[in-house]
Amino acid sequence: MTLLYEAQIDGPVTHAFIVGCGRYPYLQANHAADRRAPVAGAIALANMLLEDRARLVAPLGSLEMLLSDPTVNDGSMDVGNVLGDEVLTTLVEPADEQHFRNRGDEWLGRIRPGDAVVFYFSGHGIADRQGGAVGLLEDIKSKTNRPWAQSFSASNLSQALQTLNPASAWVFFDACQEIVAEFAGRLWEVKNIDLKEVSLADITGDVCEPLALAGARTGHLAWAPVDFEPPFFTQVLLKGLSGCCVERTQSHGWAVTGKMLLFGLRQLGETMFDEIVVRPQPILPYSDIQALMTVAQPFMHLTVRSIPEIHLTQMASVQVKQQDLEIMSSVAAEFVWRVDINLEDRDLTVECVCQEGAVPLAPQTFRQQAPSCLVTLRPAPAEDAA
Amino acid sequence: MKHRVTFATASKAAIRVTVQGKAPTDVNRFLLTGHGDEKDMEFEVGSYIADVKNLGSGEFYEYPFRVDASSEHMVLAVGRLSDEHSAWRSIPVQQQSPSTEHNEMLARSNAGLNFFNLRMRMPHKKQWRRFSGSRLENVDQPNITKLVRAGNWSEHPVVGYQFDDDLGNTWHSYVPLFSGGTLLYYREQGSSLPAMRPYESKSEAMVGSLSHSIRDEVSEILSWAAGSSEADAIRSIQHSRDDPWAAAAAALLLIRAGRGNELGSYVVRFAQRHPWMADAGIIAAWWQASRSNETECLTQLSRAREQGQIYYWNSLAAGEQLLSALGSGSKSTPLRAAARKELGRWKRMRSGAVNSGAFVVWPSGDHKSDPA
Repeated sequence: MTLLYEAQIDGPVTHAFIVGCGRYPYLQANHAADRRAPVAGAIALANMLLEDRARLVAPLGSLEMLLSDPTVNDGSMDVGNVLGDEVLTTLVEPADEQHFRNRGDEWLGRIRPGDAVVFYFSGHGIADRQGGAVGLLEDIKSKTNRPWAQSFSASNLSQALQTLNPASAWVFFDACQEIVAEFAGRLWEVKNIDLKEVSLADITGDVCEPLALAGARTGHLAWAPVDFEPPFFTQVLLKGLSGCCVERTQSHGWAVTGKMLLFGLRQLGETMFDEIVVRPQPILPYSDIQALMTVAQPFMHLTVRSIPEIHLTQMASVQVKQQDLEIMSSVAAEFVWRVDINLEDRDLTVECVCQEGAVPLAPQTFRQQAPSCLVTLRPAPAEDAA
Repeated sequence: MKHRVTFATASKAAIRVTVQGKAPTDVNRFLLTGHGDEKDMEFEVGSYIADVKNLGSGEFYEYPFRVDASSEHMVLAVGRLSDEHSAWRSIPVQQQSPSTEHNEMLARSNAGLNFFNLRMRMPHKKQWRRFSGSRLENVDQPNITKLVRAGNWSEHPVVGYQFDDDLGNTWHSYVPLFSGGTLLYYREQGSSLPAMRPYESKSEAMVGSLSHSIRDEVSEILSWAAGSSEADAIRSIQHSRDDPWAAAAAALLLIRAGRGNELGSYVVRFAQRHPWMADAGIIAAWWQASRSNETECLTQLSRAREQGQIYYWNSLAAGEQLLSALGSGSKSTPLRAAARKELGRWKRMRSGAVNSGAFVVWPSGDHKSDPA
C-alpha cells in the first residue's frame, strides 16, 4: 500500500505521484550513492500538497508515493506522522522497479480527462543517448544482464501524460542529467520503464502541454544539501509553489502558473542561494496558460546584498520602506538579508541605518514583482555620505 | 455602473492586451489584430494597467489608465506604429568589403556592431556564392538591415550568414527570405545574436507568435493572417511557392495548437517541393504521424535532416517529439530502433544550437552544413 491519500470529489481533481529515491545499494560500492535529500524533498512536496490541497486549482484526489530512504536498510519506510493525520497509511513502499510500475499503473488508471496530474521525482539521474532525462530507481544495476532497466525516461513519461487528456500536467524532475558512458554505450537502447505506450496519433492530436521541468540541464549535475533537507531545486520549487511564482488569472485570482514556474524558478534560485546555481530546463515545449495552485496572499522573495559584501554586516539595520513607511527591517548583521514581502503594486526602497564609522550605502528603489528581486547596495557617493 | 472603454490599434501588428484592475481576478486578455481593430470592454470606475505586447516583435510596455465617473466612453489607442512608412535604401557599394577567397560577400552591418557573411547556394549544390538579393538600410534605424530577395526567385536558394558573438564564438544561421523582405536586427547591448523578422506585418505576427503567443491565440492569429478563415491559412501552404517560410510558420502554429491533423495531404507536396527546407519535411512528418503512418513519418524526418536546413526552432522540437514517440511507442521493433537512432542524430545535430527568436542559430564548425 502506498496510496497515502484519496478523496471522492465530483469534478476534476489532482492526482499526484511522488517518488523520492535516496537508497542505491547497487549503484556504487559501500552505499556511496546513498543520499537523504531526495526523501526529504519528496516528503516536503507531499506535505505541501496535503496541507494545501484546498489551494490546488483541482482539489487533491489522490496522492501516491514511493520512498527509498538510506537510513532504512530495505523495504518500506514508516514515515510516522510527518505527513499529518489524514494519510491512509504511514508505511511507504520503496522506489524500486516493481513498485514504480505497479503504483504508476494505478496512478495513471485514476486519471480522467479534465483532471490535473502531478509527477515528482527526486534521486539520481542521468542523460540517455538522445540527451533525455532518465531517473534511476533503487534497484538500478541490481540485475547483471539488465543493469539500467530499473529506470524511466522523464520525457517519455511527460509525453505519455499529455496523451491522457488531463487539463494540466506537471512534471518535476529533481535529479542530475549526468552523461554516463556506460549507459550511453549500450549497443541496444536500454528498455527501461514506460508506464504508457504512446502512438503518434496520440501526441499529434489536441493534447495538453505538460509543464515538465528538470532541475538540471542536460549533462549537468543537480545539487542537494548533505543533511535531511530537500534538494536545492525542490527547495526553490516549494518556495515558488508557496506563493511567489504567481500571476493574476481571471478564473483563480493570484495563482501559481506554469509560465511563472517555467520562467521564475531560475530567478528565484538566484535570490535564494549564494553559491548554488539552480538552472531548470524544460523537458517539453510549454506555451499554455495553466494554473496549479491558488494563492490568497502572494509574496515576493527579496535578497539584499552589498558590494563589497562586508559593508552590509556593518549596518545597524536594513529596512524596506514604502515611501516613509517601514515594511520590514533586518534584526542581525549579515552578509545577505533575505525576506518575503507581500506582493503589491508598489515601489519599495531598501535603506540602511549606518553604524558609526561604517561606510554608508546608497538606498535603492525597486518595483515589486513576482517571484523575486535581488538588490545590491553600493557605497553612497561622497557628497551623499557627507 | 460600468463604463465602456474601446481599445483600438493603429498598428499593423498582432497585439495582446492584458488589462488588470485592483481585484486579483480583475484580469482581461484579448487580441487586437491589425490596423483599425478594436475591442470594447466595460469597467468600473478605477485605475487599471494594460500590458501591451506585440506578438510579432515581442515588444512589451505597460499602459496605465483611469476610468472616471464622468467618462461614459473612452477610446484608448494601443500598439506602437512600426517603421512601415520610413524609407529604405540600398547600402552603398563602398560599405561592402572586398571579396575574399572564402567569402564572396563580406559586409559590415550598417551599425558597425557586428560583421557577417551573407551567402547563398542553390538547392542540391554545395558551393556558396554571392547573395544576389538586395540589402537595404534605414537612416532612422541604423541597427537594422533589410534583405530583399532577387526578382528571379524560382530557384529557392539557401541563404546563410555567419557572425561572431561578443565572446568571439562563431555562429551561423539560415536566413529566410520572406516575400516582403527580411529584417536583420543587431542589438547594441544584451543579446549578441542578431534577430530575424519578416518585414511584412502578418508574416511577422505568425513568425513571432511561434515564440510569443499562447496556444489559445493561435486560431485568431491564423484567421487574421489568412484574411478570412483558418482554412485559408492551411491553403496558403498549398500555394507556398511565393513564401514557403511564412507557410511553414503557419503550419507550425497549427501543430502547436494540436491541430496538425488538419494540415492536409498537400503538406507532403510542400515538403517535396522544398527539400532544402527541413521544416517542410518535419511538417509533413507531423501530418503523417497524425494519420499513424509511422514509416512515412520516420522517412520524412530522416530525409528532412539529410537534405534540408532547419530554420525554425519549433521544427526542431516537433521533430524530436515525433522521434521520441516513435522510439518508445512504435509497434514495430525495427522502426522503434531506427527512430531512436535517428533521434540520436537529431540530438547531436542540435547540440550547441540556440534559438534567436523563432529561428535556430548553429555553432559554426559543429554542423553538417556549416557555411564555413
